[in-house]
Formats: sequence, structure tokens, C-alpha cells
Amino acid sequence: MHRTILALLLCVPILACGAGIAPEGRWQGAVAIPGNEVQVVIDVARDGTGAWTGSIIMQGLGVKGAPLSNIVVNDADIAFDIGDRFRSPAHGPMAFTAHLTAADAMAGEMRQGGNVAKLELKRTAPAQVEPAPRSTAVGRDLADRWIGEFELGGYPRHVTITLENHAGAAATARFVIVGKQTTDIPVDLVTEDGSFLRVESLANHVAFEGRYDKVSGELRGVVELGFAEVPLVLRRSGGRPS
Amino acid sequence: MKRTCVVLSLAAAFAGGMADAQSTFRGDAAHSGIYPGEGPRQFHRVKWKFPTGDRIVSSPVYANGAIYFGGDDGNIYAVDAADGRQLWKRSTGGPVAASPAVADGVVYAGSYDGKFYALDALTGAMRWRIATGGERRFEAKGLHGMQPKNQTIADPFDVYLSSPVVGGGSVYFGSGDGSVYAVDVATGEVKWKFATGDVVHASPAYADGTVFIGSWDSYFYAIDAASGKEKWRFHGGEDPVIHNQVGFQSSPAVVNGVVYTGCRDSNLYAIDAVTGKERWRYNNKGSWVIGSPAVTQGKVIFGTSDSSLYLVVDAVSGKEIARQQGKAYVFASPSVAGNTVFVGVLNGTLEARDLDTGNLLWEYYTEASRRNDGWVLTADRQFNGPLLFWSNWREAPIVATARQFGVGSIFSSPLIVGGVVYFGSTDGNLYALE
Repeated sequence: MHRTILALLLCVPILACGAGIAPEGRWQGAVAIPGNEVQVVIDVARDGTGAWTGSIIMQGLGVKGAPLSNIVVNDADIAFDIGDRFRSPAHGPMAFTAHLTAADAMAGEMRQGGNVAKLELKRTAPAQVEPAPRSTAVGRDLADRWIGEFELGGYPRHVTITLENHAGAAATARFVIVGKQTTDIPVDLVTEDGSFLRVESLANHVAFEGRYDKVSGELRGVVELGFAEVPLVLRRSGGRPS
Repeated sequence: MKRTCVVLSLAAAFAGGMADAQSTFRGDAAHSGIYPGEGPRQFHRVKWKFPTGDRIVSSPVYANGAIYFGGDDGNIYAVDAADGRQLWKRSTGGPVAASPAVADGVVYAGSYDGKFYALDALTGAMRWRIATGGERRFEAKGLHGMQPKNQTIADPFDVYLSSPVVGGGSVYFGSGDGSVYAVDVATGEVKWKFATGDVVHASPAYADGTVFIGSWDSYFYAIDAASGKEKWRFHGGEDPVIHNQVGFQSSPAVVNGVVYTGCRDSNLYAIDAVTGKERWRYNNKGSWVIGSPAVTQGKVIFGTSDSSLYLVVDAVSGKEIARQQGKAYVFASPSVAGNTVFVGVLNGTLEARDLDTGNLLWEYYTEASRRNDGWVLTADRQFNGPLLFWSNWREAPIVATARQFGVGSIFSSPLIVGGVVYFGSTDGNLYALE
């Protein structure tokens, strides 16, 4: 009898934290960064294909609905990162791991920049996952190699953006800036929204946003480099199409 | 009793009009950055630390047994070099973000209250005080790309005030009102005022009857110390778009007829002290050179901001001799004692490096940098940029900068006296290491 009771007692936490309880839902809590506790809201759900999806809000850090990446759920454990947002060049993405400690509670860690902080979460509501921004195809006029120049810090930088459409899929872009050195910027997002084209590298905080001017055949806009925003006009490298 | 002895020794020394070589910013009027004696080749202990009410950006100076420095808490301090006990403090109306200069028993210092003070070195009593045209930070619309673009934003990296230098019966200093001042040391009378086009927060060097100083107007000036007339001017880089790569925040060193100065345009310049012609420049590819270079044994030693480099170049040719990759921005000026160079880093590290190789001998972390509140630093003590500068909107970059400087950053250039290294930190402590 004693043995049976012990076995039952041992089973309680296993049942509470086990395979029967999934991490779906809205989780709210705090990351205990020393001197700056950050309130977080994490939404986790399955999409139409059954794959895990999610988004995060980090109050005070300017994050609202950033998509979760590399979500791994293993029984009572969940791990994910938030992609290029707060990615440290040396230490990789901001990453979370958590373990279900009760039906509606998780505890774990958040890592960023090689630092580690405790994470405490409570399930408060059904998940409200924000859809992640996705690249789109771009107009046929735009699928070309574009060149331009801007000046920053007292010397010129040459820009080349090459936009390419793919059948049935989103466009891709190559974004190269040549100043005192050549930087081939990895592009995360290419979108055409109305008449606006945006080519963005989240990790590098670099973007071009502009409008296609049919009269001049130019893409007129700005290049965003971290804090700086500088006007930039792009022209087709081969001149105007006939 | 010990305190009485220090006071007595101060009195005796000042009565004779004696001044120590370490009694001005960068050790001497020419700003060589060289300090007599040896510095510690190994770290043994914190000899003492002196807490103040706010961050310390000022570089300490030494005269007759006392350490003098300014605090952002608005005070000018005199502290016993031996035990770190306060000898006196004098309040001003604003942060004292510059080094005092001590000469003939008088401490000279400027404050963000727009006033310049002459105090008795022994007691802190006021000798005289004058008002400048008022302090202000360098500012511009769209500064560093910050938004809103149409709003003028004060530069959060303009942390220093101009440290005075004494020579030829005058004390010289720059001001946020855009002028360089020459003031009679005895009377406090303004002898001349030299107008530049923008904020002057670099510190003047004095050599051969000439005052050398740069302005945020992008020009570096040589001014006749007696008359206040311009001898020559040298044009640094311009950056009309985001004003990031413009202005002389660095203070010059003048050695063997050459002026060495850093610039926000990312160059270290060597300029002929007589003609104002450029001898050479060393380009740092966008990284500011804020500190004053140290010059010794034919070498020019300096640090950079974003690239976080410790560099040694040949004083004659400008060719690189040594380079070491640091972990964070260097704004403070390197100080040389014997064969050791001491450098403060904005991640709250005091580094001791070998003069010949630049190799790290030892390092000390300030208290606040060990706490690393808000994860300002990564685990390997680099600035955690992604977590700090995630927005360019409104005050976010300014808040981020304030947070960045909250890890016990060392803007203060080390002072070395008798084998002890003294420096201030933004954690509010003046440290004495040996």
C-alpha cells in the first residue's frame, strides 16, 4: 500500500507536466533581466498543418507580435527563438526554453548576448498569434537590377538591389552596399505594398523603401541604416527598358 | 592626524608655488599623456575608492598629495591621494565633466552651470568666478539619424566639458558658447575670447606660446596665447546629413612641433604646429577618435569608438605599429607611465597594456559593470547593441545611451602617481588601483 501511494504521488507531477498538457495558449509573465525586468506575452498555437507557431510581445523593448522561430515542443518542454530581433552577432538569437511546471504555469530561461535570465509564465487566455510578415512577389516593372548612390559620413556609398520573382513564390532580393568596404546584406523581407517596395534586413537594421515612378523609371525612396535615413534614388543598371 | 599632515604638506607646497607634472589634464600643458614613474604591471588591489553622488567623467589630476576632480553631482573635489578621504568639496550649479587644472595653489575648473571657477587648492575657497556665454551640448537636426528629423537633438555622446590649461599667466579653456577663453589667473579678468563656429568641448593644449584646440565647427585652431589672434586653422571632415562624422571632440597633444588630434570624422591627424599643414592622417573607417592621443618614444597611442581598437602608430609617418582589438568603445585618453599604458573603456574596464606590444597585462572591472544591469553588456563584455539601440524614435537612443553609460563606463583618463592608477567611473566612484 505504501508503495502504491508512493507510486501515485510520483505520478501526479508526471501527469501534470506530461504529454497530456500542451503549451498552447497565451502566456504572460516576466523575464528577470537584472535591473530591467521585462514583461512578456507569448502566444503559442498550432497552425492549419499542425505545426507550432507563435508570436511574442516584449513590453518596453518595442516588440509587438514578433514571430517565434525554431519552435520545438517536447512533452512538457518548449524552446524557441525570435529570429533576428535582438540577435547578437557573437551569441546568436534571443532564445527561450521553458518547462510546464503545472497545467497553467511554465518556468525557464531566456538567453541573449550570452546572458541568461529566469523566465516565469502563466497561461492566461487562448493564443492570439500574430501572423508573421511574409515576402510578396513584386511587379514585373520592378524585377530588375537597380543601382544608386547616397552619401553618409562624408563619403559616397554605391547601392545595388537586384529583385527577382519566382513562379508561384515570393520575390527575393540581393542588396549590396559598397563604401569603404563591400557589404552584401542578407535580406529577410521583400514586399510590395500598394506602390511601395520595401527590401529589409532585420538583423542588420538596413532597409530600402521606395516608390516606383513610372515617368522617370526610377525607384525613389530612402535607405535606412540603423538610426540613419537617407534619400536614395535607384535606376536600372541597364537603363530604361524598351 | 594624517589628514592634518596632508593639509600641512599642501600648504607648504603651495606656499612655494610648486606644481606637480600631473596637475593638469593629460599630465602636462602639451597633453603628452606621459606620467612620471612606473605604473603597476600587475593588479594587486583596490587601494581605495571614493564614492560621489553621480557619474564621474572628469579625469583626476594630482598636486601635492591631493587628487582633484569634478563630479557630475556638481562638485569639485579634493581627496587625499593616500587614503581617499575627502579634503574638501565645492559645489557648482551643474555637472563638472572636465578635469581641473592646478597651478600655484589654485584649482581651475569649469561647470555645466556656465561658470568657470578658481578655487584655493588647500581649502576650496573661491578665489574668483566668471560666467561664460553658457554651456550647451553639440546639437543638430537628424543627429546620428535620430528621429524626429526636424527636431534638434543634443548629442548624448558629447559628455565632456573642456579641461583648462594654465600657461603664461593665463588659464585657457573652451566653452559650449563656441569660444575659447584666456583668463588672467590672478584676477579672473577675461584677456581675450576667440570665437569658433560651434561648441568647444575639446581641451586646449599649450605649447610655445600657442593655444591649440579643436571645435565642433569642424576646424582645429592654433591661437596666439598672448593676443588671442588666430595663427592658422585646419579643416577636418564634414557630415551635413547626420552630423555624425564631424567635429573635434578630441583634445590635442603637441610633441616635437607636431599636433596630434583625433576627430569625429574618424581620422587621427598629425598637423605641423607652426604651419598648420597636415603631416599625415590615420583613418579609422567611421570610428570616432574621441580621446587625446598619448605620444612617447616616437609612438602615438590612441583608441577608437565603434571599432574598439587600441592603436599605436609611428609619430613621424603615421604607419601602424601595433593594433589590439578591444571589447568596447574607447573615449578616454590612454595614459603612459614607464612601460605601461592605462586605458579606460566604456564597458567599465580599466586596461593595463604593454607599451611596446599593446598586449593586455591586466584589467579591472568597475562595480557597476560587474552587475551589468539591463544586460548592457554581453557575457563577453561587449556592448549589447541589439538590446540597447532597437529604436531611433524620439528619446529612445538617448535613453539607450544613458543606459549604456550606466555600467560604470570609464570616460575618465587615468592618472598615475607613485605606482597608483586613479580614474573616475560612471558608477560614481573614483578608483585608486595599485
